[in-house]
Amino acid sequence: MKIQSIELENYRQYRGRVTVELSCDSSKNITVIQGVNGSGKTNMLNAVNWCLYGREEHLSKYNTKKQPIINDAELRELSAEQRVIARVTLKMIDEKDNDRFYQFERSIGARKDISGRIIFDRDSEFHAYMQIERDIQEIQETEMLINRILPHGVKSFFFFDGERLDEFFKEEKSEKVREAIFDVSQLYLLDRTIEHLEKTVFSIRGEVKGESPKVDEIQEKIKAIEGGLESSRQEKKEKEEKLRNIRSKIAEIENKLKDCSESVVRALQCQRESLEGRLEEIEKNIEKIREQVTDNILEIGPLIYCLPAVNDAIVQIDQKAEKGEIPPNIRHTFVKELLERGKCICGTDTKANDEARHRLEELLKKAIISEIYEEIIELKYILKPIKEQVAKFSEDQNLLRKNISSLEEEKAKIKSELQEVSTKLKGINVEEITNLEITRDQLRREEEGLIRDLGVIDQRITNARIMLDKLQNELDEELKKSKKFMEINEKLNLATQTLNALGTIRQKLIDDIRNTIENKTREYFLRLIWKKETYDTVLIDDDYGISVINKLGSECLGTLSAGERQILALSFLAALREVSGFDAPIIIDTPLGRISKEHKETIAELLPEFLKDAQVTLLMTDEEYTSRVRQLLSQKVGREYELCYDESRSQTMVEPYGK
Amino acid sequence: MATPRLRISKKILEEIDAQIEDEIVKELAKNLLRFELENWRIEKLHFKEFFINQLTIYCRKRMQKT
Repeated sequence: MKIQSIELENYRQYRGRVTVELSCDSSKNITVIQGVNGSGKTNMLNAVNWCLYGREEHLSKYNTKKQPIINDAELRELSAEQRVIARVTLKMIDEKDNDRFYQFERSIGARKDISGRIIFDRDSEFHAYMQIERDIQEIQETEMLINRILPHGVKSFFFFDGERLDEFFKEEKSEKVREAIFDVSQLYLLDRTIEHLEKTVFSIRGEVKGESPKVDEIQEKIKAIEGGLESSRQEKKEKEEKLRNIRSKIAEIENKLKDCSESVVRALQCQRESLEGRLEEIEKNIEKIREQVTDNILEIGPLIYCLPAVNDAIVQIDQKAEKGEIPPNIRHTFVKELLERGKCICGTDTKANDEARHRLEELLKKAIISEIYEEIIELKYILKPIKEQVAKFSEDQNLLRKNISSLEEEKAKIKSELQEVSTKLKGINVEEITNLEITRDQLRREEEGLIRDLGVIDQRITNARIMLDKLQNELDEELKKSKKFMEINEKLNLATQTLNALGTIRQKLIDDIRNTIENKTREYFLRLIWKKETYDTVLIDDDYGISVINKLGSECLGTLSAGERQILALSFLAALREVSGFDAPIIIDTPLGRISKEHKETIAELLPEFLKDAQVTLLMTDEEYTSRVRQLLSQKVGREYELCYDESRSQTMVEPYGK
Repeated sequence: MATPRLRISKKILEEIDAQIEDEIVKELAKNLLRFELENWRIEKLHFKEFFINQLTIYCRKRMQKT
């Protein structure tokens, strides 16, 4: 899917109608829109977001007065009883569907009443059109269509502000990514089918009554557990929803603090973010080491129990060796052969001489025992490493415990520093800031409580499910005893087989998608990162949270530089794009804003290769779009514009670059 | 007013074909998914009647076969 053009009409600083045509040429897939700060770059990104999703997510920190969407000058010059409209129109084509044309339009209006008061429309109006053969028809299920192009949850990986890359890897973001991936991969469809099939099975089982007291008794128990399970599921849903709301409120507060006009507040919030990043790293590392401790115990534990026996065996072997009992001084095959031949090496006929034969037979017995001793000597060399392994185990465990305790110390220190930041914010003599911080504190406490509650509910659900499975098996066994229930049995059998198959497919899809995103992100990140000797791998957990592991095996996401984060974000974006199949356009505001000069050029050089199949729009300042960067991108740039802001007319014009 | 087309994802269909050997289970699974997709927007969906009906049809098909 590509954006052919963005049309802005009286939208923020774009007065009148302004059209920006984006490059749809696959060989020159980049459009550059350059402009100084405040000229309207970010509002170009906002316009696309607002048009498709009804929200402007990248409002500048300078927009403190919450300026309306409709152009300022248009509103000022509005006569009484007149109406003005702000509109954003996106024209798009789907190359994978025979260049099917789509048009999305969002508008909002305002009018001036007779007393000169401006009254804004409460809601914006949204329309979407689609080409069907030669006709253009309005689309009914607009949300579904937009979800197919680019779901809300992943849009921030496609339309984003380079200066806000830190937000990419926050927990609430990863939840959204997970949701979106479930959505576009239709995993929710599988979930819903499984849920409904389970309920149907439950209802079929419920039909069976009065067959035997045993069946009725099991039914009663199942009913009671199902009731409890349903209310636990409901409770879980509600708490999860509450948790999501709390997290988004916290993020909102933190953004406000980060964009606050007081520099000290901004600095404290930045300090908090970096401390929280480090805290998260430490917690992950502690968890990793704890897992290592458990793994070691599981591996070496049985050997520890055997250690007294191992020691005893080694002592006994050593004693036998000292006594000269081992190794054997004669091989039993040799003695056996002498006996068979009936002749000793001294020439004595052992068949005729009982005493000589008897001596050889005695010698044979000893020789057989000596053969076993040979194996015993070998055993000594097997047992000794076990002893060493156990000794090393204690050393390793002590070292791991020391690491844990030093990380715990650091964790406690960071927690107290975080507390200090919070106290300082509460102590700032601005009521709004104090209140925001107090609210954030309360929300954090609520968040912790909810996480604990959810853990308990999960445990309750797991227990109920185990119990239910057991009872359902018992019921099925009872039903099999009666011919009357043959069809019901068959239905249950078929439903169970279908449930199992859908469950397996669901899990396979989840694993496949997550693994591929992890592998692709790792591949891109390690290929593009400049510190190749520092980083070892990139991991993505089941909830789509990212970890970067350095060569020492420690998690280090929180300490990545802005440029490194940019590379990670782009790697993740490219992986998501590839795996999810979202063929959505990419718009990046200030892509090189936080990058040092040398890395700016590296990223500019790599970017075209990186996003080679995507339509990319870069909104850059003059400091980013230097002549060197322009030169590096030149092969891939299909269209170039410059935003020129005319302060006297409160208006931005879009001109061809360098005009 | 037009409605965007609804399709079960290719990946899910491929997995169903690859993972399920029993033709009856395969067909039933696809039918149930199709029903869910067509009724995706309905929050309080009355699914039981359709599900029981499908199970009955396919269960009888299977019993006839054996």
